[in-house]
Formats: sequence, C-alpha cells, structure tokens
Amino acid sequence: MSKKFALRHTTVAVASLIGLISVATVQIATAAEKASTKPAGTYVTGDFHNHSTCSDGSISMQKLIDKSVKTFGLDWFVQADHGGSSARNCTLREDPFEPVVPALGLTNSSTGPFPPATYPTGGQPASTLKGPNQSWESTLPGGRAAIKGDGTANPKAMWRWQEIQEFQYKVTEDESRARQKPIWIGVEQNTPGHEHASTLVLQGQRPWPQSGISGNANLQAQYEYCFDRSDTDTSRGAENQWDCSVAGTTSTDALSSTARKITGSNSASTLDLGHRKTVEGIKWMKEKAPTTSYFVPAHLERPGVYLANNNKGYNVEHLRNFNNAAPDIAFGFESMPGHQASENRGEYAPNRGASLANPTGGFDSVGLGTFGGTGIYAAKIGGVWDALLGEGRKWWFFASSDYHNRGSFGPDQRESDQDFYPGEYQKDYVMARKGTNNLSAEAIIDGLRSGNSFAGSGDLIDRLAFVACAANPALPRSAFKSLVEKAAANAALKNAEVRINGCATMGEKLVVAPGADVVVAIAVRDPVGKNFSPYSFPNPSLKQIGITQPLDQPVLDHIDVIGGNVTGFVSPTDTAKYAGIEGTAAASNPSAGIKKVFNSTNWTATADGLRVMSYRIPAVKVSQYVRLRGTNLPASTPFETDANGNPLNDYDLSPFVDAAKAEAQKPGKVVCADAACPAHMRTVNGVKYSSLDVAAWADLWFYSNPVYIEVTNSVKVVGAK
Amino acid sequence: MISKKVFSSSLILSAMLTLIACGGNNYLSLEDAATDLSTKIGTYLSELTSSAGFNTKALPNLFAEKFLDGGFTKADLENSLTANSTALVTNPELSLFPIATVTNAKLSGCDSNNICTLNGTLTNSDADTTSVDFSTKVLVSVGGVIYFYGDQSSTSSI
Repeated sequence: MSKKFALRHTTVAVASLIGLISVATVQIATAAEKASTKPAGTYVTGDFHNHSTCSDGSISMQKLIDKSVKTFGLDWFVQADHGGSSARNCTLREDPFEPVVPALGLTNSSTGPFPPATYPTGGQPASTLKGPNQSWESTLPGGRAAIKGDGTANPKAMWRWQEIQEFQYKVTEDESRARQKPIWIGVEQNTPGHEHASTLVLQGQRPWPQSGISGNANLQAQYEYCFDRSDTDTSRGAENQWDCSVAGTTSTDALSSTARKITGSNSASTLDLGHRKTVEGIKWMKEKAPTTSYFVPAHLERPGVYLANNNKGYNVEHLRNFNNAAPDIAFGFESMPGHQASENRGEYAPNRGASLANPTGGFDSVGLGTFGGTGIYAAKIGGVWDALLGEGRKWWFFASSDYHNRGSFGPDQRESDQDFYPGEYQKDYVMARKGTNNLSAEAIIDGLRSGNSFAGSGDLIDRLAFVACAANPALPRSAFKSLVEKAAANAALKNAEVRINGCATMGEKLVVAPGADVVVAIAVRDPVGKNFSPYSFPNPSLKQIGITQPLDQPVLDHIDVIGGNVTGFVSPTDTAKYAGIEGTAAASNPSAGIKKVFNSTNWTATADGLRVMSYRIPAVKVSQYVRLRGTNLPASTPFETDANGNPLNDYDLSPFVDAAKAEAQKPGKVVCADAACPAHMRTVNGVKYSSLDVAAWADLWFYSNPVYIEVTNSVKVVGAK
Repeated sequence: MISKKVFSSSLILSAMLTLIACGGNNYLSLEDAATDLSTKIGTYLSELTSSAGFNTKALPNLFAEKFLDGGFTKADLENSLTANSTALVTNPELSLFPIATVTNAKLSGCDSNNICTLNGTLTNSDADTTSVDFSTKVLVSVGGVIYFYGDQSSTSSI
C-alpha cells in the first residue's frame, strides 16, 4: 500500500455508499409497489378441455375426473364436454367403477371389492347399454317426457343445457367436494362460424372449497343454449324462458322471435353470421360474468382457414375480434392441442376428412400438421402468436388433453393411439394466488386470465420462474445477475414466482426508462424420476443422434428465449395488417426471433433438478416481449427439429399405411428398433416406426407466456398490467 | 490514522457497525457513525423523493471516473439516472429497478494502486427476500474515500 488514509474517511465513504443503496430501497418501494403487493401464490396444474359420455367421450365424467385429479394428480379440473345434445345418461358410471391391472399409476384391486379377475382386458369400457351408455330416455323416471325442448330422435337426445343445468352440475359439484379439489363445468363450444372453443361461465357454480348450499350452472347452461352452434333447440330452455340478447350490443343480427337467439351460422346465404354470433357470446359473458368467464379457441389450426360460408378455422382477425370484444374473457388459445397420441398428432393433417370415396374432399389444417405437438399459430416464430404479442395484446398460450378415448386401447391401458388423459401428458401450470386459503376456482380463472402460466408435455419441466428485471445501474453487474438468478431459483423451488419490485413475470409488463438494461432470469426444474410414459426404452428420435435416453425419463436439452417488438394494436380498418391467413403480414411479426439459447453449457444445474440462467438485454429502446420454449430434442434432430431448433411438422414423421394399397402412402422416418418398441407402432415392410404415443413421448416441449417490456417513450403495452 | 500494517493485513469493512466497532481514539465512535449514517440517509432520502433526486450527483459521486463494469461506465450510470428521472415524470407506471442493501462489507486484496476487493452480501427488501454474496472492485483514494471501480472489462459476459 503506497498511500495512507484515514479510516474515518473510509468508514464514512463506505457508509455513504451502502446507505445510498439503502435509501434507494425506500424510494423504489414507493414508486413501484406492484410486485410487493401481490399476494403469494403457487403454480397449480390443470386441464379445461376434455370429454365424457356427456358428449362424445368414452367414459363417465366420474371416471374421467378420477383419472385426472387422482391418477394423474391435477390440482384443478374443468369438465368440458361439447355443446349440442346427447342421448346418454351421463350421471351414470361404469360398473364396477374400478380400474384393472395394469393401469396407469393405479393401485390394483386385490383388496376388493372386485377381484382383478372380474375385469375385462383393457379395463371397464362404458359398455353398450350399460352404465353411462344407457340413454336418458330409458333411465329417467319420467322417460322421454322428462327430456325437454325440441327433438324427435329415438332415443331422444337431451340438450346439453338441460344436462348441465339439471344433472351434470350436481355430479360435478359432488365430485369436487368429495375430492376436495376445484372441479367445475365448462363447455367445449361448437363455435358458430368456426370449429371449437373452450368456454366457461363459472358464476353460480360452487365447487370445493365452497360447502353447504349447492350451486348451479344455470348461466353456463344458458350460454350453451344461446351460443352453441349445435344447440338448435328453440324452446328458450323450456321453463327457463331464456333470452339471449346482449345489452348494448351493436349487432344488427336479429334474434329469432321464437328461440330468442341468433339462429344459423356461417353459410352461403349468411356469410360471417356465425362469427358475429360468437362475438355476441363473448359480449354476453362480459355482461353476465365478466371476471369468471373465458373463451379460448381450441385446436384452432386443425379445421383449416376461416371460411365465411362454413364453420371452420380461425384467422388472426377473428382472434383480434374476440380479444377486442372482451380482453378479460377472450385472452388466449389452445395452440397445443389434445389428441397427441393420434395417428396424425393433434388430428392435424392435410386434406383432413378425405376418404377413399372422396379423396379430395378434405381440407388442410393450417400448417398441415402440428410442430412438436403445437399448432403453427404458436409454434412458428414470428407467426400468429407473435403477431398478437407484437401488438401488446393479452393473448396467452394453453394446452389441453381433449380426452375422448384411448383409440384401440381400453380406458385403463397404458398405451394409447388416440388421446392422453388430462395430466398424463399435457398440463397447464397456472399461478393461483390463494394466500393461506384453499385453492379456488376463482383464483385459477384469475391465473388463466393473468397470463402467469406455462404449459408443457411429458413433464419435461414442472417448475418455472421466469422474470425480467430492470438492471439496477448502481449495482455491480455480476452481483445483480446473481441476485436475480437466485431469486428465480428460490421461486422455482417454492413453485412460485419472483416478487421483486422492478421485476415482471409472465403476463406482466416491466416499464423501463429508455436505454435501461434488462436482465432476464430463468429457473426451471427438470423433474427427477419418471413421467407417465409407459415406455422405458430409449427415445427413438434421440437414438438417431447417438443419445440414449429412456422415453419415461426425458431430459431438458435447451431453452430458447424468443423475443419480438411491440408496435401497438392494429386497427380493424387497417385491413392489410388486421386480417389474413397464416403467413400474411397480418399474421406475422417479422421482429420476432430467438434471442438466446440456453443449454448445459451456459446454465447452472443443481442436484435438485434446477437449471438456472440469465442474460442481459442491453439498452432497450423499444417496447418488446420475451417468451420461452424448451424441448428435450437438440437442434438438427432428424425429422424433429431444424438447425435453429424449430420443431418440424409432426404429420411428416409418422408413416401412413392404407391397407387397400400396396405401398405406404407416407413413408416412415424414425425407426423404432428397440425390442421393447410396442406392437402398435406403424410398420412398413416389417420395420416399426416411431408413431402414435411413442412419437409423442419422444418429442416434448414447453411454452411460457411472455413478459412484456414497455419503454416509456415507446409503444405502450396495453394488454398487460 | 490507521497504520499501514493494520490496513494491509486486514482492512475489514464489514458494514458500518462492524467497522465502527473496531474502536480506537482515531476512529468514529458508534454514536458518531450512526449519526453520520442517519444524516446521509436523510439527505439522500430527501433527494430521491422525486424524479429530480435521480439527477443528484450523490450517487455518481460514489463511482470512480474510470469506473468500468462490463462496458458500463460512469457516464452510462449518469445517463441511466437521468433517463429514469425523465421517465418518472412521464410515466407513473415506471417499474424502476430492484433495490438491495449491502451488508457484511469487507475490503481485502488491495494492490499497489489502491484497488481493493469489496466483498459483501446483497439483499433485496421485497416481498420475497434474496441474499447473495458478491465482490466488486473499489478504488480507495488518497483521502480515504472509496469509489466503485468495476471489473474494468469493456465487454459484458453477463
């Protein structure tokens, strides 16, 4: 040391330095209290789109609920059958209601009351004319006369509004209270002008943790009557005498004087009528239940592009119309569809619906398939989702199981060549701010609406803390990085979010001064142990590139941080930017791209499965967003990912063999050569190929919702708080 | 004055109170230090209760003129404070940035240029509290004033 100095001065200087930082704490706490005022919450898993014998599912809703919240452990569940009508008495259940061995995660029944030997191979189906496959007409005390509304079929079908209002709700509430989990009723709407949407009107329902007096699903039933395309009943809900008018609506479409609802949909003579009716339905939700309703288009790429004279898909302008009508109700889409084990993953395909008799009579799913199990609207960087996020919209990503059946397998068998159970393969992880209270349906709906959620498949990850923080310019960079990373790690360990002033998480916006640095921190957990895959042989997709990894023990390979600029809402009058099919300017955000890739070389791995990482966005000048995706597949995995890590079309992966023709119509790509590869794999010339459920278990992804970054002198991010 | 021997062997600045507890006739007393600290806090509080507070020189004055931390300079810091000051006026939603306190501060490893390592613990004071240990370089002036010096790297690896 060449100089001497006074400790007194040194002391004061350090004190000043430390003191200033302390002082700033007080200042900032008053300037941005958002994070510190958020009630504590945790991410909870659930599913809101699935089917039972109340519509076209294969098992009773009781069994479906049992599978979902018991076998596969979901924290919450929305039983959401189609609208329309159904002939089966879906208050009945399988008899005996007991799974067979082997069954997915279920204990056997050796302790009774039903000896295993009494079970049929594959488990109890809902047998013809038994259990829930008996008709309403044959089982209701009042018989046919008890089935209300229009209808002449034999047996007479019950309109879903009556099922929901008089029968299904009670069973669901009983299940919820007995199992002490929030379980309630929604409807997969046959959406006028389009195909399907997951919808909910919770108001009136009283699932657990509510107790005492029973609730009702009257408003959900009324919504179904008023706005489901397949509900052509004109009875106004019999004694309900519903009127479907919407207060203050600007719609010029007249309500039927008899049915008191807009009848009809898109057709050659009524172009766009159905779409307008759907928008009216969203407005109706906003009027009746503004904080406990949602409208989420389902598998929206599957039916192809929108047609004004038919009921097909959704273009980006329709999503904008919905969101403009009620952003707190139409706030996202299920772009990671169900049916993940089906022959054409997600049931997405070119020329969908064609047959030998009508080989050109089908229509192309948008994108001609899913991409890593996700539709092109979300899977394509710079596509529809990024276009919506680029406006600063509240538009979030969800997954659903869309469970109907297990194809050629029984309901208790572990294999599937059609669907996975809710929670078995896909999950929505939703922030529920329940504090010290029990988890409630309202808290979950708030979480869905907030965008503070992520979704994924195959339990690739089960925890995520994703946060963007304005860098404190007065703190050493390395220290600030460590602080934010540790905060993310702590949050992930608690299955919670980061609550620090000056930081924002999924669905939120961080408002920063021009030129601010932003630190993005991510902590995920790659869970130790096995997922629900019944297969432990090596992943065939990874085997191609020399990686031996059991299908039931996937490992997160990398995470992409995807970002894009926010340029503000597009006006409906700016047609070129507002309306268009996938690939057009209206459905694109050219600024979107992969901003950072994290993998084992640049994240910190801990023994408990956490992967912690961060990066700094320097000197932000424009409003923007960042979102995440991750997968078990490295970039350039043949037939799975491209050189940039983007998922490839799943439709192309699986061979298609038409028994009537000598040659395979679609060749196989990824050989499933392991001796344990199951017999139901698609086989061409004696060679098994990865397909169906194996292809799904081999190709896992997760998607986060975005964190917005708003720069004060740039575009305001309207859709996030 | 502190002796060269004492300083070079273990100049430990483990937060103010620890420092003050070193005792001795030439050092600040506990009471003096507390008074001094509270005065400083009060001053800075008053300066930072409005956007104008971000324009005070108090904060940048704690940084050496040659401060450089992953390419971030003292000028960058001043610009950042000014930008936040302006933004606060125009946008009350401004998130500003996470704030932390420093405790357990210790100085060590001083070189011939009076560049020392400041080790400490950084703790934020939000609903979710997190603490991390950190170290950074500081410059100790002839007058005994300590300035942030940064890692002197012109590029950021963070």
